[in-house]
Amino acid sequence: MSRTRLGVLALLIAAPLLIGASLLVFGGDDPVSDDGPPPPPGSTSPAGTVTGTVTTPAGEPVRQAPVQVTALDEPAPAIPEIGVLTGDAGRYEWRLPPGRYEIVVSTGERNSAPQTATVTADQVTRLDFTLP
Amino acid sequence: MTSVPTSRTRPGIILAIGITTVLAAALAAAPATAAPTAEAPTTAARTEAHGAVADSGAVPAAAALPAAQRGLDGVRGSGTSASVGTGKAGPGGSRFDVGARPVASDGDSIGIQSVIGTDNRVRVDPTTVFPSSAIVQIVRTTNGTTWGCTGWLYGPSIIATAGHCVHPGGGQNGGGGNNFYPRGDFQIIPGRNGTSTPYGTCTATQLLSVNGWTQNGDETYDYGAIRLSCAAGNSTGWFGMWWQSASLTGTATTVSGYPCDKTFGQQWRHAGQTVTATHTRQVFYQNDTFGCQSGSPVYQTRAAGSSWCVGQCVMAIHAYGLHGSSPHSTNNHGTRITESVFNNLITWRDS
Repeated sequence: MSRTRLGVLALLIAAPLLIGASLLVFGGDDPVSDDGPPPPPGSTSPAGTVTGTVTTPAGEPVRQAPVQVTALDEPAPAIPEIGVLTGDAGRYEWRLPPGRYEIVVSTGERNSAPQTATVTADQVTRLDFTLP
Repeated sequence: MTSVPTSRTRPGIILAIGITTVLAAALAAAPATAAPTAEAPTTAARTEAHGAVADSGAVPAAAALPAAQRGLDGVRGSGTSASVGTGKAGPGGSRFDVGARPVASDGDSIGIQSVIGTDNRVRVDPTTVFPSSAIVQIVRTTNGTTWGCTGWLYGPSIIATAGHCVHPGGGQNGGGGNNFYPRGDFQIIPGRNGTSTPYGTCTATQLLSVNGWTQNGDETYDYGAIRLSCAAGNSTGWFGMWWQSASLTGTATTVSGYPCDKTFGQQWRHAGQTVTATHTRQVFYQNDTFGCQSGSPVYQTRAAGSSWCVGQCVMAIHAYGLHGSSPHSTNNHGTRITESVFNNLITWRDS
């Protein structure tokens, strides 16, 4: 067996072990709080941000408008069912796993045209909407 | 002179280290899964579990069963009675929620990720009837953006919710203490009904979750809790909950929360479904949900005399719509109340 193949084999064995070991040392159900001891370091999951504002054609901010995302990639990544709405200045912010998404702003009475965003890890994508 | 392994022996050493590590990890993992009762919070929480049952004023017959039948060994238990739980109907509350009315004809949202087929949710109105009163809207406003979630009271001053409602997960920084979201940005509104807030608005005094979510971003550990500034539960009542090692597949499910595709602050519910698949740490179901319903209780009404939990009893915390592969791609799903989840929630409530 070549050294390269053995090296790859060792890497394949070691990678899941490192993850498993971290779960053993720091149990998944170990509690943490926002005012308790600092948690052990973990591996940061990659995520990017989509942000922008929602306004009327006259430029007025639209408040409390739900900003809905749909993953375009297959298989779709896990997007928690947290909801994002615009704030008082019409601003919104979605933190998403890298990938392609269709984003729509819908108030029930008024819907924006859908726009596509490509989310890259640690990058901010700007996407503004105008509601008719 | 430094001794350097030859090219023939070096791969062997690497392989030997890998195999040794595999064996060591396997040995270390075995007791962690085979003896869940060895976890730190288990003993105290289990004791408290029965204390909580007594709090309801009606101790189920289950409390008198021998320990082995209470599901103390979460791995061996294969029957239907391997469970522990608490249940409490609110003061003056009913064990049945009669506050629903049919969905408006224009309320269909066919094709949206977590509405499976026709939208079968119905608006809950009024929300002052237990258990609707014990379901809360969570609103977080940070840097000019609003985020919405749902939670449920399981004590006078504490709600359970999804982990991602209190922490971004996966080692990311939410901007607050220990990388949680800023505590001061939260508003918790029990039994909200549109613009009406019959039990006022509470703030958060502590945010809680577990390493599996905050550090690893593992969706099977996606749960948390918020300690409240108020004692709304004394007015609204609170949910019971239970865990069982046996499969939940086929048991009745209701999911109720504050979806963001409806008028802000309205509570909507989908009852009459059953668990379609049960994983070790997740429960899958066909109840329709939407964004902002993360943290909703996945519950059922358990008649008097039921084992472990009587009244409105939660089995899972809703967290995700459709994604990935089956059963994730064909069912909405939530974090299952396992023994460890149960013990953490009880410990948080009683500490």
